[in-house]
Amino acid sequence: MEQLLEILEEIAPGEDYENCTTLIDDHILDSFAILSLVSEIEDTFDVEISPALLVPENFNSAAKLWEMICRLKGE
Amino acid sequence: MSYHLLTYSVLFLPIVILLYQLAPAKARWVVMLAADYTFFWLISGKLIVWLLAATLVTYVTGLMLERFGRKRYIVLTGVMINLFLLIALKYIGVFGLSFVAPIGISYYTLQAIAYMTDVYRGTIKAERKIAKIALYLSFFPQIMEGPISRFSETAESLYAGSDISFENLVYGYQRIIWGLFKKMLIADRLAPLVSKVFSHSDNYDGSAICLAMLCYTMQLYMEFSGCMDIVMGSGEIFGVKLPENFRQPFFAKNAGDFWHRWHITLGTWLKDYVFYPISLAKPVKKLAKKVKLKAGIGVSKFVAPTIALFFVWITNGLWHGPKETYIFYGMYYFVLIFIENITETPLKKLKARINIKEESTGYRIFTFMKLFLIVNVGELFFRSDSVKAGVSMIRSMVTDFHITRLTDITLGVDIYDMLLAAICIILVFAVDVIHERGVSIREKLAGMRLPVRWGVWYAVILMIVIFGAYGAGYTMVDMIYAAY
Repeated sequence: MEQLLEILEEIAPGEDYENCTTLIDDHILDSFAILSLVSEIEDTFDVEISPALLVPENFNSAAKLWEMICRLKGE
Repeated sequence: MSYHLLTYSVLFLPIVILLYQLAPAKARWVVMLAADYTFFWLISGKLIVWLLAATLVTYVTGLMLERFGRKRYIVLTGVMINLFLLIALKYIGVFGLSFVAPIGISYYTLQAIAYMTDVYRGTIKAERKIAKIALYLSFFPQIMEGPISRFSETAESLYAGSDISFENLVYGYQRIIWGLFKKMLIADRLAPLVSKVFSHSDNYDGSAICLAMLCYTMQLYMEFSGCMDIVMGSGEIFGVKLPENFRQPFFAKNAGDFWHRWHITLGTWLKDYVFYPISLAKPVKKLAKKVKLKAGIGVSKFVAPTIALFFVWITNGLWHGPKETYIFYGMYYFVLIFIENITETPLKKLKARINIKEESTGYRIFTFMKLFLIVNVGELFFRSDSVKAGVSMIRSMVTDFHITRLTDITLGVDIYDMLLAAICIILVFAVDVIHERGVSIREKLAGMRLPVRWGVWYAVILMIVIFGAYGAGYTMVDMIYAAY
């Protein structure tokens, strides 16, 4: 989780990623930031993210992102 | 038949409402489907066969994905058949062959592709009732100009057959009236000027061209967003919440943000089914990784989005039709948004260094003017007969601009037309400002006393009746986006 928070901070600095649950709904992460995030997550956690997973439910908060990463690592 | 005609709002729609409400709840979807196909028959005649073909292909593809597993070749076959129908009917004319495309094909094809792809991705389940697919693809208020909805957004409510509530009926018709106001008092009033200047631009100097350019942008905004008001209002009557297609586009921060607010559903469709899949395609990711090793993350982060962005904008341009001006229009926004993306971080640093505050009034006015110019130039090329004609019109505005000549030429409208259109535009923009602040005018009005509430709506209806561009002396103006 720490690593994920670091990645988020690097891509779009200055947000409260531990508590924010509207990263997509409030346009904190735009489509360019999402792609940078996907690329970093794939490299760091050795998972593959498909276009089907690029939905607000998976990207609206750091916790949801972490859930998705754990799910993918378990597959 | 078209949404802005009286035959729609005071004849077709009330008949459907009546039959729908009288039918037993379980049979209401049949009434709705009959209304959808009757409407389609009225606008496209026997070309309805293509809609039926697309419906069948979409339905069967979904079932096959469920029966044989989410195989790529199944979804590709379904998507290719739908795309083939679209290309064969809409674009083949470029090669001198003559086919007629049914109105709405560009919209229902994108919806069909979205459904099949979502079933393939596993985000929705394949639908076993063909009626739901048919209702989803042919809903009469949205078949001509969208919005492009997703199966999960509308199919259930279309099939449910809920009662029409008095509240929905009133809210729905209020929104239809607001749409008619935009279309008949502004868009159609400006149409003769736009048509005259754009078809003979060589005869006019830069000032007339500049006026026509501004009028066309307003015409397009009022006409398309007005049509969407009619569409959303019609859907609301039946309890169907269609996705919004406009969100105060002229208050956007930049060109990229503008496209998050203008024709929103086309933008989100392109994002989900073109931008993300291309960005995450293996060859693109490989290329981005290579660039990352050689040039670092600062450069590599732009590789995948830029490649995908190119395809998004070429698709956007071509979706409007097989014309060089549409492709140019797409490339125009591709270049602008690419520049915005690569300059975002350096500009942010620069603004911080020279102490420019983005919230200051001066900066907001500058942003508005810049975006307004960008949008107007884009729409000028979009409306031009050719890119060459567009360039020539821009040149005229720079080298041959004589505002005093405007009074000497006939532009197809008189000073009263312009004055009325200007007042109505100010009114629409005032409403946009209120919406931008997060206030719902309809809810505010609903909370007011009855005489005030109805007084406002009667005033709008009276304005349409008295000042609307219809009847003798006016040529009927077709819905612009129904042609795409």
